[in-house]
Amino acid sequence: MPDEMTASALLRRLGETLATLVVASLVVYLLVDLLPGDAASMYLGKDGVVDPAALERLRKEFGLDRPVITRYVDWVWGVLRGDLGRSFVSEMPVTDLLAPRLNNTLVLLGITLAIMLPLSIIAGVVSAVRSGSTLDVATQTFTLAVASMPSFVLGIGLVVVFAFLWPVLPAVSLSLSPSTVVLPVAVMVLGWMPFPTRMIRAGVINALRSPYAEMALLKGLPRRRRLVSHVLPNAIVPGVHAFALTAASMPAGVVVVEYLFGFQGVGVLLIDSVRARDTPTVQSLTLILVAFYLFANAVSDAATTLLTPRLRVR
Amino acid sequence: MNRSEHAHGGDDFGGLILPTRRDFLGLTGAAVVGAALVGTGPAFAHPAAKRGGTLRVGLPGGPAASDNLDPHQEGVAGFAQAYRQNVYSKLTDMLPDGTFENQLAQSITPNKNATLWTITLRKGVRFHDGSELTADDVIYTFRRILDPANGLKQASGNIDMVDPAGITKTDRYQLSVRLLKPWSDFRAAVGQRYVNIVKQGAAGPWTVANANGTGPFKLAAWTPGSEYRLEAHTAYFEAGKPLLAAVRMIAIPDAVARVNALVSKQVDAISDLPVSQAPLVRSAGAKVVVNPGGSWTPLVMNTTKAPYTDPRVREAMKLLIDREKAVKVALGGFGTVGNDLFARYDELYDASIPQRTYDSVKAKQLLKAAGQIGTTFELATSEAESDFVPLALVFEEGAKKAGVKLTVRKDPADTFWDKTWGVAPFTFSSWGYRGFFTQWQQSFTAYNKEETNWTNDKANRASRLVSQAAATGDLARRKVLASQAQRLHWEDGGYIIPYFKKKLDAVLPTVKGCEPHVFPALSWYRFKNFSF
Repeated sequence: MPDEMTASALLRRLGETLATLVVASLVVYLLVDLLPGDAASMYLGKDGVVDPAALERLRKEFGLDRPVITRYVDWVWGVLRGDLGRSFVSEMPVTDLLAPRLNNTLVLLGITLAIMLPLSIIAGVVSAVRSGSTLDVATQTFTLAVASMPSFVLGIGLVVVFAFLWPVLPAVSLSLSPSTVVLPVAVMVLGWMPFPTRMIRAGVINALRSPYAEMALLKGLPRRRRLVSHVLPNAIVPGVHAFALTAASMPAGVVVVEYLFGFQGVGVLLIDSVRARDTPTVQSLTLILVAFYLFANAVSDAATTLLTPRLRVR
Repeated sequence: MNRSEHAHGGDDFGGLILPTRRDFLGLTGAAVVGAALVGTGPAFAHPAAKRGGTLRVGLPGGPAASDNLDPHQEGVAGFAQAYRQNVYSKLTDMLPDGTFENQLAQSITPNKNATLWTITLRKGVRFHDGSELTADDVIYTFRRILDPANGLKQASGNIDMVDPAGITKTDRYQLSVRLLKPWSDFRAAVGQRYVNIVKQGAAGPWTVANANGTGPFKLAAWTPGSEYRLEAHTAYFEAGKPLLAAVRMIAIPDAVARVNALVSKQVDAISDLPVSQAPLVRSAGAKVVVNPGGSWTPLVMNTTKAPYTDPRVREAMKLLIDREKAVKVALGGFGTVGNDLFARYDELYDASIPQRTYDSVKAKQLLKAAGQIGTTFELATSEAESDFVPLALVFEEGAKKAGVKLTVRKDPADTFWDKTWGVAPFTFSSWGYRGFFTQWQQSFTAYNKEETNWTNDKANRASRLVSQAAATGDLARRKVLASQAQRLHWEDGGYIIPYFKKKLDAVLPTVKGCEPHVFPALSWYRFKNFSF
């Protein structure tokens, strides 16, 4: 149970998260600004070189003639009021551009996590308990093989098998539906599961071999109870970190999957927006991704604190 | 051509009347690869063409942030063209052979010296909101496009010969348009992409609700950068069209995913099929459509920068590229050899000028005569376009074989159009197809001239000939003048044009009406002719 110390630790963590968010947004804003070319020159292309007057006009229209800090402060002020700004070229509110794609990606990642989390715990624990058995060796070999395969190779393999050789699933995911998410989710679960699974397996094996576990067994505790009440709470901490790391890298990894399946998500949007130097979109998306990353880390820290009594009293 | 335009998928057909039908069929014949090519002709001629159905089209899409619904503004590759072509109409439109047919216009006729044009509109044309098309709508459209405050650069560039103060309504369905200079090519100018006729008073912000055109389809839904949903406009002016009930245009950025979508029948048609995927598409039973295409990738020499100031050096460079090999290596064979002249499908294209071929002996003689025998030339390339690097390598090989010293410098793709193009004395450019006059204007007299900076005496003489040709109503005379200008350009200009690129689409065998078109892609997106 979290006590007062835990609450203040969590609050401090939240404060740090917010500060990191602000710093990250500033860094990203400045970095995008440092990239050669801006939205106006990208939009005009060769015409901008040839017609500097048109370039200046467009810069003014986009508000790019103002100092970068002014633009940043304006943008932050907008975000605080829930306004992510308008895309330069299409003049669409960034929220309108983002919302449908963010929804798609979140659904995809949500399903992936919901499957991956229990699956890797079960696989890790079973492998650890049956350490050295055929099942364990098979699981380890399979997960290692899958983990070392780039996700696009895995994805194409699955497409060939399940969309062409044995056509039960769509080859591309042009809209969100139960059948279209199966393959993208399968690629992500298979690609990301091995790391937490192996961490959990190692943690459980370690804990099982520790003196307190031996002692519990000697005192006559049933194996199952020893595993669930004594071993798992201690063994799961590295697994939680592995989860957090995996979850944090998901928005990056999802890009490949989105491309492969023609899925309309935020990954493709981010790449396109960077190419177009569309700062309002890039900036808002980055903010969301950074927040996602920090959130995953904060959740992992909080979970660790809750799972580790030592950390709670310090 | 410019980067943004290319990013927007942009082939532009400025230009006068194009090749004769026979020429074109000959070219198409050469373009036909295997029996898989679609050549069935317009859907309405097909006995099995039936009405109804939803055509699902996979297009490369592009940045959601650049996608927009302004009928006169640039958007993203494919989407931009396909949406504007189907929801709106223009006064004329381009046929597969590159000639123009009347669309909203009943007739477009010039005065004797092509400075005053009378446009008579079709009667009874209905906008999607039910209102009737009149001369006021056309006048409003032209003025909106030409108003510099609106910044509609592409659209206004197409009709910049129009005098905004010289547009007069003569009747409910008729107007006269005064030009700032004689322009015999006006019918082609008003048929360019972006010159879409809108309702009088139409203005942004552009949304699904006010996307009010006269085209064969209405816009039903739009997700920027992702999807367009179109529904048949039942009051469309062309009898019996469109045949389809609806069209869904879906962004599938990755080429492999696009092919997968087609082969697994999740879409009925895709554009921008990579050459490498063509055999796979055929073996899966789909049809590959090979568009002749007139896009070109020139090596450009700046004629005002040494050593390219010397015409002998320029000619030597033109002799150092193996064009057949360039087509093979850089285009996988999907192209036709070029002869340093553009506007391949224009009827003014002079095919009688001898084809330049690789000639190391003559090239070395020319360099010797110019005193440049020991010079190391530098060619700046980049991955800004997919064929720049392979083309540079083919050129390098040709130079090496002749014993000419050449270094190939690779610049970053991001900054190519800012820092390399227009700066490096010997580099690349990229153009979509344009007709002869438009291309001439943009390459030598309007806003892209720094590419080759061809401004010497011969260039001035050639440009005078072209102006005379544009003001001449008589085709035979126009051909003579244009041919003299092309000859001067062929001898002296700064372009090395090794080839013209073909573009590939693919459709399921059930799809009818997608015929090869000089404008890529998907039969210039004329979905009104498509059916199942």
